[in-house]
Amino acid sequence: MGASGSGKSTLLNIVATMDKKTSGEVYINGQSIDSLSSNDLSRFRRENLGFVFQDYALLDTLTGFENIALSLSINNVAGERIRNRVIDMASLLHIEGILAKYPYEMSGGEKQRIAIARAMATSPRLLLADEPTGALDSKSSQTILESFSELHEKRGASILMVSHDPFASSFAERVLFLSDGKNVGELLRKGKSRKAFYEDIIGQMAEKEASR
Amino acid sequence: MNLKIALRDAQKSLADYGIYFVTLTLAIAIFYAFSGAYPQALYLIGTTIAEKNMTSLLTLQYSLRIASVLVGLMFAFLIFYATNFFYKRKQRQFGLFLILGFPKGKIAIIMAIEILFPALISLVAGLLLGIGVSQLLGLFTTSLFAASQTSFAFYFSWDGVSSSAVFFLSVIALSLLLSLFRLNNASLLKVYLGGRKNETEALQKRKKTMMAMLIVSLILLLLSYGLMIAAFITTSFIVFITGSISAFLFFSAFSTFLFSRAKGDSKHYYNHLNFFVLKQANSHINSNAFSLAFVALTLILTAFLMAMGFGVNFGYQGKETVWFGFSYTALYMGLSFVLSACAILSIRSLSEAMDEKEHYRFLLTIGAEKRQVKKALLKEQALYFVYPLLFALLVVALGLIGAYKDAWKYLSCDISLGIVISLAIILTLYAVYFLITYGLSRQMIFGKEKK
Repeated sequence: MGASGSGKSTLLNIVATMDKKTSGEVYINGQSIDSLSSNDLSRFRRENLGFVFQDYALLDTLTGFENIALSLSINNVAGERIRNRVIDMASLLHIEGILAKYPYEMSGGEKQRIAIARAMATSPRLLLADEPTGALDSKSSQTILESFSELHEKRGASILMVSHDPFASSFAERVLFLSDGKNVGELLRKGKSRKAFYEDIIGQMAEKEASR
Repeated sequence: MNLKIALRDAQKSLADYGIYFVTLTLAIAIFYAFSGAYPQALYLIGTTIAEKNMTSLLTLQYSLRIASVLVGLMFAFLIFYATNFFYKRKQRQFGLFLILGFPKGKIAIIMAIEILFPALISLVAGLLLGIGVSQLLGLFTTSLFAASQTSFAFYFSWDGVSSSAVFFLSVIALSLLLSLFRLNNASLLKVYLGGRKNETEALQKRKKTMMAMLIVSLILLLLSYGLMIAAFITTSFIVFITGSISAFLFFSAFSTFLFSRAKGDSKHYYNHLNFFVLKQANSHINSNAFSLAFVALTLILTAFLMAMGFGVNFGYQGKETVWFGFSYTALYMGLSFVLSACAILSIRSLSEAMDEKEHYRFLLTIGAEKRQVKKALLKEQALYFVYPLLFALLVVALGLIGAYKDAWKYLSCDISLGIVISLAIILTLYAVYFLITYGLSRQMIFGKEKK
């Protein structure tokens, strides 16, 4: 969490291997990503990472089904298995009904769930989400966040989400606070209810604001 | 101020300008060569050979006049096309100006400068190129068809320059007026969103209509075949019309039909980004039925013209000046037609590569290898070029049999060598254009390659 310009998205982009760091080391799953060539990085991205963007980044020429299939096709998954994976992801995210639709026929929340299905279809070790609810109304936001929780609980997915919204952050297990490129605090949920964790986050934010 | 904005825009969108500029230059060069220097050279050669044979000369002039009308139409179409393309690329920006509260008059001035400025430069460049090309073509045709007349002469025609300039400027003025009219009548939101209109909606046309269109198209195609084989020369005009309608229907309907078949084949459809390629190409093929039909017809027309021209020349060497002149003219028209058709395809492909830049780059973001994405791009553009070519070849293959038969029957000459040579020339030009277009769009999407 952090305000605009605190470095959240930069951190995410570095982890995503899309941006270069100026100092330090990046290890993902015990593997340093500095020594990798651009082809290795591509492979690393498609095999280990899943991406969810604020603007969904769906391709408007493809149906929902095909958008999800895209990440699998890049990984050279065979046709029949692609079908099964897409249907599996769709039922998990409750989007079976919109698979045949094109992005322009979908609501924002539906688009984002398609995007999440695309990101999760390859079973990445880490799902990276940059303000995934930033462009959504509150009801759709809640659905998306609940989907994330479900993916985490049922599929054991690790999710790294960037947000400035305390409500969105309260769905997480662990919240890091960033300010001007530095880590300035951390909160752990430790089995608390989401509401209680939300109060914690609000309290922490007020504290940071007061000590500014 | 207006000039400053217009010029700064020009710097920013060099790619847009590049395509617009190259097309116009090419069009002017072709038109100049045809309307000016070439007929003059032809006339000179014609008079020498005909030795005041009036009938032959009149026929030659008549066929030249018909040919220049056709080339003129093609020329106007190309300019309209390029200007329209340019307007579409700039539409979003003009929309932004409108939202910012620029008065429409001011925007119109900016637009006029942006359209006219490259147009005038390309007029000069095109004329220079045209003068150069007509020297080469003059030399080439002289040596090809009149071995005795190899003496080189510098062909330059004020007539050609002035008629090209007048014709070009009036077409540009017309298309500028059209663009201004469109801007004036468009709603703000439409102009602003125009740049990223979703083309996939074209996919949603009803299947029954598609099938009906396809059936009508095939019936017309068969009818054209029948007429061509039965009597090529007497029915060529009717065949041209039925063929045109058939091609247009074919291109609007067949891609959807093809696509619905491809979807059922789940084994290959999802492999190697095939579905991505198909969907991208398909969305364009649907909305570009007109251009594709035009390209296909141009190819067909060119194939016939060149095959007849070359064929009659080789099979009938020097016996009759009428046919001699006809083969001069046919070669020339053929070349300019193929170039125009290719220019249209390139404009479309490049503008679409620009639109799809984000799609292709997105594939890289989520981990596709460059090699994989380049292959997808190659496939998409190849599809786009091969599609009208296949249709054209389909028609040409059977049509030329009819032409061959008639040429033998009425003129007692064997045009098979001419057919082979002209097809080879057309295919070579086409392939070169395709490779250039692919190279340019690859650069557009991935940036300059580091070696």
